[in-house]
Parts: sequence; C-alpha cells; structure tokens
Amino acid sequence: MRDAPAATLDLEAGPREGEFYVNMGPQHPSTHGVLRLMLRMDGEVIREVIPHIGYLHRNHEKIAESRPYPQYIMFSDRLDYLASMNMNLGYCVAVERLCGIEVPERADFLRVIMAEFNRFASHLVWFGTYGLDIGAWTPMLFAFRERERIVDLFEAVCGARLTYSYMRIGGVAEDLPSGWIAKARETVAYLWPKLDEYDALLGHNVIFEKRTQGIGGLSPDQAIALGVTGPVLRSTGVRWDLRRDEPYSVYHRLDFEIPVGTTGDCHDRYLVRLAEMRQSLRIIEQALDMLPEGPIVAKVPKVLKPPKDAEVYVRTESPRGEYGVYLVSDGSANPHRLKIRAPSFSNLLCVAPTSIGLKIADLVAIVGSVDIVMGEVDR
Amino acid sequence: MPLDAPAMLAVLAGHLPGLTAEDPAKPWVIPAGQITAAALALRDDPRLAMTSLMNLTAVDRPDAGHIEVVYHIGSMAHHHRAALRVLTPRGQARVPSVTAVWPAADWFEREVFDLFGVVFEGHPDLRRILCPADWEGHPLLKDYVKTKPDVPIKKVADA
Repeated sequence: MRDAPAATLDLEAGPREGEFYVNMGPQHPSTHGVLRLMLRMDGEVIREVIPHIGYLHRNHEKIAESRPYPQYIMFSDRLDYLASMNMNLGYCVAVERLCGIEVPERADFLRVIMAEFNRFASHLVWFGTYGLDIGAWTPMLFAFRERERIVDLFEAVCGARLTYSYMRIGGVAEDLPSGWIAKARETVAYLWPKLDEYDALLGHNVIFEKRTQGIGGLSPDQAIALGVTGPVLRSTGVRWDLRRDEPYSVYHRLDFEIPVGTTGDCHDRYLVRLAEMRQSLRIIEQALDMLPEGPIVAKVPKVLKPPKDAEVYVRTESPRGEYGVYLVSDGSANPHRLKIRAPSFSNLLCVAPTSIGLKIADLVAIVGSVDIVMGEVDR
Repeated sequence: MPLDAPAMLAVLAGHLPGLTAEDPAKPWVIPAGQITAAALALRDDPRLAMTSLMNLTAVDRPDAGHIEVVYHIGSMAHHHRAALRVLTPRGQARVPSVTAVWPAADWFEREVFDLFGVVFEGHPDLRRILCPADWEGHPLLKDYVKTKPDVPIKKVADA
C-alpha cells in the first residue's frame, strides 16, 4: 500500500514519471467534512492515497483535563455530531464505571431509546448523503424528511436539535414530556414502511448497484487487523456488535439481531446499515414497552472525585463502530487523561488500501460508504 | 474460551519469561524492548488470539518522570481483552512500533507521536497527524505551554 517512503510525500519531490498528484479536499462535497486525500494518479487510475486529517482538531482531550467530569458531556456532543446521544452515552457509562455509579432502570431505558433513535437518524443522514455521492439527489430529500420526525422527538425531550447533551452522569437530564411515548410509537410506525421504500428507491437501483458492488471490498482478517469496526466490519461477515458482545446499559435485556454482509464491499455496507435500522426500530419498540417508572437520575455527588489512579476503557457501539472512552483519574475532580477512541478515525484507515487501482469516482463511493464524521476523526 | 486476567498473564509469561504483575487486573507493564515480542505472542497464541488492537494511547506522568504508552487489545474470537503499558522516560521517549503486528496501530502511533512526542521506532511513516506539520511542542504533555498567544477578541464597544 505504501511503496514511497514518507520523505517523498512533499510535493517538492514531485510525482514519478507519467504520474501526477490530484488533491481531493479538504473542501470537497464528497469528503464529508474536511478530509483531504492526496492522490497519486496514473492517468485515471489511483496509485496511492495519502489521507491528511486534523483540519478540525480542537484537542478535546486537553480541554477535558481542565474541567470537571460532568462538563465534558457537552464536548462529547461535538465528536460525532450526527449521533450526539450515542456520544453522550459512551462517555457517561465510562464515568459511571470509573466512579461506581448505578444508573436507575428508567434512565437506562430512556438512554437506549434515545441512542437507537439517534442511530436511526445517523444512518438516515448516511443514506441520504451516500445517494448524493453516487449521483442520486432524491434519497437525501427522503432521508431528511424522516430524520425531521426524530429530531422533533429529541427537541421535545431536551430542547436541542443537534447537540443534545441529554445524558448526565448517573442518568438523563429530563423525564419525557407528556404524550412523548405516543408520539414515539407513531414515529416508529411511520418509519417501518419507509425502509422498504428506500430499498426500492436506491438499493435496487441498477446504477447504484453497478457503482457499489465489488468496490472497496475488505476481507474479515484485513478489517480486524486495521481496527475497522461497526457496519464496515460487519459487512465483511464478522458478527461483532458491542451491544451484544460487551453489553452496557440494558441491551442484554433486549432482543435484536446483528445483520452481517458477505463480501464487505460498498453495497454490503449499504445492506448492513439498512438492516441495522430495522433492528433499531425493534429495540425502540421493546424499550418503549418495557419502560419502567422511577427516578431518572442516580444520586451523584456534586463534585465527582473517582479513586486515585483508577482507570477504565469503556467501549460502546456508536452508529460508526467502537467508540472507546479511556479515563485515567488522579483523585481530583478533573480527569488526569481522557482519550476518545473514535470509530471513524480507525475506519478511515481502510480507504487507502482498498482504493488502489480504482478510479476517482470509485474512491468517492468508498469514502462515502465508510461513513466518516470528521468531528470525531480530528477531535 | 475467554480467559481471565491472571490466566492471560500466565499464558503471556510463557512466552516472555520473567513477566509478572502485582495486580493482573491492572494493565501489565511490559519492558519497552519486549513489546514487539509480547505483541506477536498475544496475537498468535491461539489461547489468546488478540487480533484486534482497540486503542493505543499514552498518559503523561510528570511526577514519575515517564510517559506510559497504553495498549488496549482484545480477541473477537474469545471475547476477552487486556491492557498493556510500556513506560518510557520523558524527554527521550522511544518505544518500538507494533504496526507490523497490528496495522491498526499506524495512526494511533502517529497521534501519540504528535501529541506526546513519543518516537515509535520502526513506524513506516511517523509524521504529525492532527497538528500542522510545523507545530511546536506536543500539546498533551502536562508541561506544554502554548507558544502562540490567544487572538484578542474585539468587543463591540471597541470596534
């Protein structure tokens, strides 16, 4: 994959004879944010992909060291801004394990409901923008129409439409407003048939199939070695989902399947995500049925001071894969070290080796199918 | 079959004689020179089968005078996981790279190099990844001082 030594990466050395560099991004609609890919081209064929990241780097991890544990929640919103609920959840679970806090049952169910709605909404954005990448305009309009319903539900519980900050250490911020459950059930019933519509609209479209089948294929071993997780890993046939394999919150009490693909190409990633959206709806239905009464937040001290030198690495399944939070305490109210293991960061590693020998248009299909969010790649 | 932490440590100690830990439940300290051998054993021993490197990062410990490089590894086949750490002195932090064992380490090591200044020997392409190439210093070190002042924010009344 990397046959040129690092020192020749600067443009002063110039490309080899008969080859040239093409700069894709950072301002490019199909790089989903500010990802820059330097392409060494031989005619229309890609010989090498050199990703450059860091354009959105804010050093979240340094910021976290200077403020108390609960104050990082609103920063976690800004990691994967398409799935803020999942980002809140992973961080809160990590702090709770570090401090030994038990979360009330109702809060756990509320968290699962929100996280799954957010997973659905996040996959919807992916579905819409992936259509745009491939050259289909309509899926985006469909996806955002449906996402609006979910965002309305979130707005009703926490007032925000993108960066929710809904979860708290030990529970959630607010209980449901009256009538919310009925509205949620209505939304779920509304969303079920839409998924078949999407399959008819995009999934079975001949142009879409030709653009995605056999493109960007990964083998299971390759995917695991590169640290690829989430739908991209499952599309290769590895049945690995942290909601089942390392349960957190109340996922062990819910019944759902883990869809997998076979070839690991871009089309399989589409199929896996669509199947996952169905499973999310199943989880939401069950969680709404099982939602118990009770408190929504545990009794948590005003100033959280975990034991000295305690540390945890907690991983949860975000819509993009393994979202890990590594916390090291020094006994004070601020963490000594916080590390965010972002799924998109590791998933991006599979773009360069799988696009060698393909055309630029295929690279667009691969980058889109990985579903990166630069907010969490650059942190 | 999942192994618990003491059992995993015992298997690893079979490959690396002399390896012990006060508390097997905490990350095991591996001598820097042995990390590549440890990584190979962890990945290739069928009882461990730690094929996935979930996370690689570092923790600065200025009081102890070293930087800890932390590896979180796991086995998808056996459903068990472990954590390793390598201690390296601040100022001349050097650790052998594990990219040849776990390709996932590529960007993780670049990030630790960028933010902590740890040099990973044998890494194929050790460059800064998040900060600009001409950035000075390593921001996640505890004694990092900002070299550039904040841009003053103009108040409406001053404008």
